[in-house]
Amino acid sequence: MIRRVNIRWRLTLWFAAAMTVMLVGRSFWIYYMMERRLAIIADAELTTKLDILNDVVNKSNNSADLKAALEHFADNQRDLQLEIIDSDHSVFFQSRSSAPATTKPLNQRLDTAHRRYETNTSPGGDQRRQVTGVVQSSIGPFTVGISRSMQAEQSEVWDFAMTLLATLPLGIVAAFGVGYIVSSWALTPVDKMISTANDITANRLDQRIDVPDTGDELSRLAQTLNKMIDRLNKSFEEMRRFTADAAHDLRTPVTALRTELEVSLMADKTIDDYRNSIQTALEESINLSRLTEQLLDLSREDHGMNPESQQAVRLDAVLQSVLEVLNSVALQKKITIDTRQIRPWTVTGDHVRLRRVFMNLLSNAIQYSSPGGQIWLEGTADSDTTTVVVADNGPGISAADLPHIFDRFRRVDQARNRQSGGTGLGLAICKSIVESHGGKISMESTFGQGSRVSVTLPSAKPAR
Amino acid sequence: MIVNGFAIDFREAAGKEGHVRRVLIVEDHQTLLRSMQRGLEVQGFDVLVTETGEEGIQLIREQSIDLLVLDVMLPGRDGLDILADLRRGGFRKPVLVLTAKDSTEVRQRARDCGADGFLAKPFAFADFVARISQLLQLVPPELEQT
Repeated sequence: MIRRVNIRWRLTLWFAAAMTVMLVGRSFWIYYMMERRLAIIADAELTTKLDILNDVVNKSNNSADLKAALEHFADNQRDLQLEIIDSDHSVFFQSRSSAPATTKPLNQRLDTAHRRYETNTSPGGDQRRQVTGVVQSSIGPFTVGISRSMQAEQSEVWDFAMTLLATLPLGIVAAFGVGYIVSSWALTPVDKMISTANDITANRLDQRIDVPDTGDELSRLAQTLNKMIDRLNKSFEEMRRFTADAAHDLRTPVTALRTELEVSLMADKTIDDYRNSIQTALEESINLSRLTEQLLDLSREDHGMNPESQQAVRLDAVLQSVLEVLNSVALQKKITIDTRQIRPWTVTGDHVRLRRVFMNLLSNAIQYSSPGGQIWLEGTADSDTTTVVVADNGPGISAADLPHIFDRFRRVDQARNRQSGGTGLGLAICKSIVESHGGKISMESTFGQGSRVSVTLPSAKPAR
Repeated sequence: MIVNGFAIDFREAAGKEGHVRRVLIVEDHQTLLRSMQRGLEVQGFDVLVTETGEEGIQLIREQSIDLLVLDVMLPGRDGLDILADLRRGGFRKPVLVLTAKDSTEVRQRARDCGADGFLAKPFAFADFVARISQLLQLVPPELEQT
């Protein structure tokens, strides 16, 4: 039930509760302090009286004299009650004899400076403040108790306490009000964030939450949310572009296939004509299926790497297995591949996908090299990263095309791609795979002189 | 090509009384280019083809053509840039733009650059011929009647 109450009301309740506890506590504190203060004032008065009495007792020479003096003292101090206890613990004198004496005798060997202060409750419920001390007289020591009623003071304090108590509900209501206003004010940015966040959908990711420039938790929250929206926007944008690009790249070959078949039905007459048309259509279908497969690969790469497939991979073994496949093609074109620089490099990654990277890079190098060309495999490794370079002395890439070489669906030299059966996606796939391994891929090229593709991957940590 | 054009002179779209319409296609997808050429030739057009925009501009300068079919995504320069240049240079013949990217923006840009027609891939060859024929009706009537 409580969990369903919104945070504004919860804050208000907590605030009001804390305020109530504080107000009540403060009221008790004030009550206690006032009582103490009154007792201190009363004690000072009683002490003075005791001192006077001490003088009276000292001056008396015998018991009768003393009694008369006490009688006289008591008559002048009607609001005080006087009890004198002698050394036998019997009452020597009592100003009002109606009640039994309550003074507990002190050890009469004690110094006259020793005084005991206490608050007693009389049988009538009256609170009395009493001082007890020892006085010396010519007829011996006495315990003297002087007490006075605190009723007047008590009722004053009580009235004050009642006033405090009466204003308490007012204070609580005020606490509620202030709590509500303060929490509303504090939570206004949150409401704004909620309404903005509600407006944000996949199609409206350009919206951002207003960041309050307070530098507090809420502005940090707004910034964090905005960063999250940025990332979402980026990946949605990529997805949208990818879908658009993919659709674009599929549309042209589909049109080619369809047109070829339509024109063939319309124009062709001989078996050879049909045969040629079917041959063209077949080639186009093969291109289309390859393209479709690569698009799927790319979108799979975009979904990130499965950490379970991470393992130590011997790159030299990967390169050897790729070379075994490509050797015959290289031989046909009389291309030499220099493998002398290959070392037993070990990186962390997915064997199958890393093999695809080097398969793509090496077959590109072979495809685009002129007959008789050369390819070098080189590399360097330290404990953090391993870099493998595939270099060739082929035609190279022009400076204008080089920055876009890893882009998906790049337009550079598409004619060349088609002639060689490429889809323009191979390098983009390599980039995706390498980056999903936490690595980097880059190309340097001089037009007419050759290219160098560098693949940097995280080195495998030696097993412990 | 001329022989081919005369041979199927009876086909409607390609013009009348011996006037064979000459169409230039600029498209970088070879297979598509070849089959469009073959199909249009069968329809009685005289067809020039090229895979690059630069060659297309060159051909327009050298020869008189009646209609230009232009792909948007070309290697190097964008087809619509080339079209805008041609229009600025005084080229007044109808232009049919082909594109694999069918969006309002691209259509708008094509119109702004001076395209008379717009055909999104993939299309039926019959639609392609129909659009070309339709655009060729737009040329001034005196040419029509000669």
